[in-house]
Amino acid sequence: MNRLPMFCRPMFSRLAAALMLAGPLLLQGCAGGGGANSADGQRASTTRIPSDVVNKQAIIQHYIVLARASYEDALISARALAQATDALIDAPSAATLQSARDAWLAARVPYLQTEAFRFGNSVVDEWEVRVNSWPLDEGLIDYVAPSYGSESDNNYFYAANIIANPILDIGGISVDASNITPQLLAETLHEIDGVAANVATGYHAIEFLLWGQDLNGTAPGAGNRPYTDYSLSDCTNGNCERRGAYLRAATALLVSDLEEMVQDWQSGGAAMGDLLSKGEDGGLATMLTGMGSLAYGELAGERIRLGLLLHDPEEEQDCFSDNTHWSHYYDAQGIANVYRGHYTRIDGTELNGPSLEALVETIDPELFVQMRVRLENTELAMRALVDQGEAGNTYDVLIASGNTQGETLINNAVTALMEETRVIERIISRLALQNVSIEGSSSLPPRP
Amino acid sequence: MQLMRFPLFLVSALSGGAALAQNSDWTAVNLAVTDTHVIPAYQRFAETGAALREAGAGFCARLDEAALNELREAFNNSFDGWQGAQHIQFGPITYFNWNYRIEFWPDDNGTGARQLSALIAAADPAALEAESFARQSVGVQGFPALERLLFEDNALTQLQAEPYRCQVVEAISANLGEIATGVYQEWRDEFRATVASADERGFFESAEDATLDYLKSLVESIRRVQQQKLESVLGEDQSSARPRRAEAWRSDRSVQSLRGNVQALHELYSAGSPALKTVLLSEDLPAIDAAFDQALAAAAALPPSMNAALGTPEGYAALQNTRDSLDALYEALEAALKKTDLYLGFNSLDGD
Repeated sequence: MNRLPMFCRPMFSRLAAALMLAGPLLLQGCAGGGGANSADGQRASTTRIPSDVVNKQAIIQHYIVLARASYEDALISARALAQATDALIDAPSAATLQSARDAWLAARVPYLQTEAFRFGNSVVDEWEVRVNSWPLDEGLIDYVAPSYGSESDNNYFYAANIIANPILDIGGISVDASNITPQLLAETLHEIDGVAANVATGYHAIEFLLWGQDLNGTAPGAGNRPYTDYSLSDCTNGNCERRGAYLRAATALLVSDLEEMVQDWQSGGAAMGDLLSKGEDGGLATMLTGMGSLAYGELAGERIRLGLLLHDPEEEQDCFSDNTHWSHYYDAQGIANVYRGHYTRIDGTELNGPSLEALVETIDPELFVQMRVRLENTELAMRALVDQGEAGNTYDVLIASGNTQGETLINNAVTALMEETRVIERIISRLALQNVSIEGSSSLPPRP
Repeated sequence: MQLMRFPLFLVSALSGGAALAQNSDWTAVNLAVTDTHVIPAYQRFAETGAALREAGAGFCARLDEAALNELREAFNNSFDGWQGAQHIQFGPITYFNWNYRIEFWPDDNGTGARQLSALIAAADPAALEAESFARQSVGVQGFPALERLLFEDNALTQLQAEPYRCQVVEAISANLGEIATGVYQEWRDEFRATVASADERGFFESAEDATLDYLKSLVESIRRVQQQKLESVLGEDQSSARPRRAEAWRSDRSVQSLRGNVQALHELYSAGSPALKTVLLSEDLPAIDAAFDQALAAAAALPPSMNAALGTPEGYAALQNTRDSLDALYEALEAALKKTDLYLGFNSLDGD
């Protein structure tokens, strides 16, 4: 298979093949990633699991406990963020801006861990667009640098600048934004004209209001908005009162959206009710769907790999604050939380209980080991990105064209997540959850 | 970025209940599909890609209206070649990001256009050397960027006014020619053997796994064409239609691409012997065959211009009809698959 030595032939594994950016120059892309066909290459058999071995219902109930605690923590830290941004608006200074930024960074820690509850739970997935939409055309919200441009093929509101323009009439749509309220952001501006990049609400809108655009391209450095952007006496960049009103409305909305999600996970809440209505196997399938979809499609694909393909800092999840390495890290942590039935709350409380991991250990010790190895590999790969990020080599630096070291680190993370996802799929197969994971299958006849 | 998520899950099947029992039966299907559909499709892509590369060579030295029209025709032919193979989602097309480099689309954030402008503004000759160009953003390397340069308003004037802009055209044409040749040669010289020996421990876990990759390409591509090439353009009603979300709207060849896709998908389903469809239960084939006939007829009945079709009630209805026929085809295939033990992994196209 490896007859032609001119470049590493991509036959060794699907992953090594798929991850190389281009052919001849990328010899080092061949070195790693060869494990996909080895230890976890076997196909599991699918015997039924006796119901008395492990209590699936207890696993699902504990998953609900984790979801509730995770969203409560996200809410608690969002309230702290709102307090800090109110302090900034009321008394703008370098210190109040810094503490607002610190509060935003702290609020991301529990929120990112909740993302493993998103896919599979449609109540969460539909709600998520309000709080974590990304990427955004930030010119909708506030002033931008000339390099941003003034128009887009896809978005009439690309540079609408709500903060500077109380009355808008764009592309046949009139907006009265003279009063900036949570309702205006949520009901009128968010995804206005059906364009997903018109993000008016959520963590990333707030991030933009605290950091401003990152104008450093793929060089080190984050956004550098001055605190005087909120000063009524010494206002920079104009419209400081409206900017403050926007920030106040956006943080209030984030808090109320998270309050709703906490309620959704209480008894009688929409997310909890929906989950329980799926039955035991349906509940386990939801847990694994959430893990696999976040690990593969969302995190490895949309948030990590795509930016490298485009070498584009706009494709960075936390592109204003350059906090992306931590966001990725805590996403991966959230996946492990769901599998292990474990969560460390923001006050340090440890939650432990019946877990998928224990179920897998009972029925298939080899698969249990595979998954543990995969989770550890992911943790190491994510930690490597965090170490680089904390040293100034943030995600937007690593994806620069020609940064081969960055490319290797990013591909390691993608490889780890994809291999982890393969084992998740094997677990789904081993638990005989196939049909449950495909949507809309209830009316079809059972397998022959 | 609103890329569809295509899962890379190793698809798996339960033992015992599938329509084919023997490994050799799966291999026979795989090779019939490979030899009668896949390799010929990539051969057409390679030939038209080579013609594009030739038409692009020395293009700037003879730049006039005739040369531009000649290159536009070569663009059209190679894009047709690509549309006939676009649905094959596994194998060599995934090497070196060839799939993204050929066509990074849809590009909802306009990233490719922004990067193309930046590339031209920087006018760095080194960036266009083949090895270097292959490592630029995928957004500037393929058909969407080439189409913009060849078909935008005042294309000829702009290309004549800016030598570097014209050199980008040459670079993309050469790049696409290289990639098209590479994909074809990999299939012909290496990957066909990988498919043929898929019962060994290697790229595929079994011959059945290779068949499942073909089925995924079939089913997911039907959904992808329906959603990305029609629904996102159609909007809620005619007044909210979005012509610029259509694939290759600048060259007004969206309908031609769509027809090529449906024909290629039908070929994947039915070409060769034993054809891919024989892995389904025979009782389900009449319904799927009929759904394919409907989709082919609906696509054939479309007006040739998507831009024009969106402007008339009749044209809009014809596009809706094509969308509906693809939806019905997808449903028929999904229902038939669920009666087998062929499990295609997470269906992320139906999810969020």
